[in-house]
Amino acid sequence: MRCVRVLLAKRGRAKYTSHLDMQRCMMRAVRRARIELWYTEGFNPHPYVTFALPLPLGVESDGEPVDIRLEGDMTNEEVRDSLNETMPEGIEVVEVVDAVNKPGDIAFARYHIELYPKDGLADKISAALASGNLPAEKLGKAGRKKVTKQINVSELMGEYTVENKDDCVFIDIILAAGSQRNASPFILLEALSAATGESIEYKRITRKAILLANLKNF
Amino acid sequence: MISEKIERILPLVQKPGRYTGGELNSVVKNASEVDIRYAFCFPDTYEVGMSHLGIKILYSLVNAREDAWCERVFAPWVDMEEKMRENDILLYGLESGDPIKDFDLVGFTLQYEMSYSNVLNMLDLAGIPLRSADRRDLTPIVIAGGPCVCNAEPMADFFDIMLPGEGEEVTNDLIDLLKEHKAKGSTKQEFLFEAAKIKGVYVPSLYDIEYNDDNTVKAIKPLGTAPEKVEKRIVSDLDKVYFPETFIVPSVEIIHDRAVAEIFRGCIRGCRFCQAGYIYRPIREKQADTVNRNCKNICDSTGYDEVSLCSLSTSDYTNLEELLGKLLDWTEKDKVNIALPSLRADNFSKELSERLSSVRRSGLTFAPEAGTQRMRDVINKNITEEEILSAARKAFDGGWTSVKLYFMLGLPTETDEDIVAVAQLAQKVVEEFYHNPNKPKGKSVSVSISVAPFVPKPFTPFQWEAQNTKEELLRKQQLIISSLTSRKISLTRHNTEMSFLEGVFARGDRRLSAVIETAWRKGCKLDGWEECFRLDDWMQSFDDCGISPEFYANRERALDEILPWDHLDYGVTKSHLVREYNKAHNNETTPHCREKCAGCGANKLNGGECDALRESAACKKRQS
Repeated sequence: MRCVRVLLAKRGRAKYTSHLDMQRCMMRAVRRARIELWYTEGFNPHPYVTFALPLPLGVESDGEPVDIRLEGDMTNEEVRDSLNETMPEGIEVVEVVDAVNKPGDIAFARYHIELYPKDGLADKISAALASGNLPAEKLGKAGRKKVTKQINVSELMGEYTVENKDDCVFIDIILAAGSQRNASPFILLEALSAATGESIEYKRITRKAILLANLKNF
Repeated sequence: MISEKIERILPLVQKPGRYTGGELNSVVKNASEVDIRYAFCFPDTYEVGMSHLGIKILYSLVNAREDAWCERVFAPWVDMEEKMRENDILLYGLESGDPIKDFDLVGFTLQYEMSYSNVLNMLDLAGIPLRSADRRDLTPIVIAGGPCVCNAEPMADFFDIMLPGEGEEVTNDLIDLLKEHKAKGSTKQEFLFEAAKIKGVYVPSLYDIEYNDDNTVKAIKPLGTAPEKVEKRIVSDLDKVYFPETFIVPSVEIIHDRAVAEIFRGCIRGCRFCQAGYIYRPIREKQADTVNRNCKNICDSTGYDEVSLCSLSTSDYTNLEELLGKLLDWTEKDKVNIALPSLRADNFSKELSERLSSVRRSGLTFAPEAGTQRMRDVINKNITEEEILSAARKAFDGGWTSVKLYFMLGLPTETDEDIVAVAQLAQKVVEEFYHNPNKPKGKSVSVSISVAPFVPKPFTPFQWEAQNTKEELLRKQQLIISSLTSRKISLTRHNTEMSFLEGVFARGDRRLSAVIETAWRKGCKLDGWEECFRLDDWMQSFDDCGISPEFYANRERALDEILPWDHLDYGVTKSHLVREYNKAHNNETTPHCREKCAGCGANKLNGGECDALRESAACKKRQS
């Protein structure tokens, strides 16, 4: 048995495939590609196919890490090529690598956000991002109960740039990710809408990279 | 491809993946290179429609032609519909994103009566006039198929063509004809008269219906060259019939998300309440090799890890053991589960249960349908209490702990004693578990019983019966609840108001078209969904149109009354249905078709052939 990390690009219509549906999609692709999976040896054997960091519905990605455990002696390149022959539209294996870092080591993710233009929007967004105070409401759990928590998105973001180009506003930004502290690009946009008083509509959001605490690629 | 206009509303709706297309194995063609564009519409949501085997077959069948392109269309959920209307987005085909109003054929499958209002809503969303008479151009031709077409008279005003029977051959015939008439520049009327000459094509507008003063049908008169009777179309040889090599693999989870292969059509049982058991006759089986190949192709090309065998009664398939052997040869290695729905309690063997439990363990479902032997004899559900209990015993032996039992309420001649017996039978199953020395240790049993109101359907021996009123059904449901004595038994009840409406449409005539349109204008749609169903608006619509729904649902018909579907011929003769009706009222059963041919007449559709006859002849030869 060996564990490999498949990096999946998700583009176009495929962005409407949810996290759970992606898991099903990946399992089926592996079966179609006749890649031999390792199965757990318990009472109810199941394969090991794990997405390191769920991607929000509607967000595209340049490389989502999926860890799978293999039997047999397929090389990483063979795994990549056989999967790519059978992937649905918009989903492509960019690379298959040996898994080095653990999913628990994920700390940040970098996003590229494209907004529909509005007069003065870029300046307002720049000001809001620089203010250091971007309150937002987040659904969370306290025990079993669902509660809304107040968070400050400014505390959950890193470097960013805001650009006004070709009639569009682009935000490139690093947001906290992983199981401990995290903020989705949608929370950021909600906070920005509230702070700027503008209704902000996005055109495309792409997760460009998943990062470790030292900002190196996962 | 989806336009930016659609793209902008997708983030605002639930499960947007239902509206994007682009799934694996979906077929995209160049619109300019095909002669016929066909919108295959399922009048319910994506998750329901994509689970349906018929759409998979016909989609692939049409797309196998170079000159035609079939696309899928489903009913958008309420939130999507609202956004589409707000943004002037017309209903589009999932493959191209093009509005279906520009297609040549718009076909709906009518699987259940409660989807009728969705058809109107989808036509309206598509920008297509609702009524056949208001669509003057040759295209789009709006057609309907599916089991409800055996009496879709309540929808007669909206469809140009209905296709009684099986779709594989007639779909191609119809496409050929439309292609020819499109090239010729025919009028719609010219095309419809020609279409009506094809076997299995019913053109509702070519029939005049006259009514008596008491609102019953007086006469059904064909116009011009339209045939007196429209015989349903069947496929003669199931081993040669088209079956897809692959299925579309949905990107959003659907209800039955698995490979499916059909094993036979028709049913040997003759349960008198069951429309499917009558309208899909005669019996035609597929050979085990064909089914095995179908299953393997679909699993390989989709990556599905479950395959289900489809028929009205899986355990009546004569090649079941052979098929399971062939399937297990590769499914065990490939870790594919086999699902066997529709097993009968009387021939559910222990070996079968063991072979299946080696693959997967879940609950078992049996359908005794009625609580007492007398009631089961009336409906010709030829199964004894001992057989039900013995099946439950085998299931418990095999390690199962949950059993589902299906019953019907409001059957003809039913008494309170029959109803109380439903609860008693469930109790006996619970006791069967506790008396079983081999029961799974440390586990409790759960018996869930589901009671559905009986709805009399056309082409069954009960087509003349009165359906119980809503009030009577509610009383009977309460009677069951008060008869239940164990907490191991849970009860699921079906909405009686919905069954009432289903009953009205099932045996309705074309005067109901006006009611359906009125109700749709009041906002009725997605009636099969509890959260959308509004009986008050429907009742108001009946009232507005001056039509009594009880006339259709709760009235007993005379055996010689002309029925709204008498001009359709589904093979089974009326005299056979009358015979069965009389036997029911004498508590007499009819043996199943393999034991003894009951002479239903459906074999005339297949040149006198019926697989049940052939098998019973072979059976007798072996015995002698």
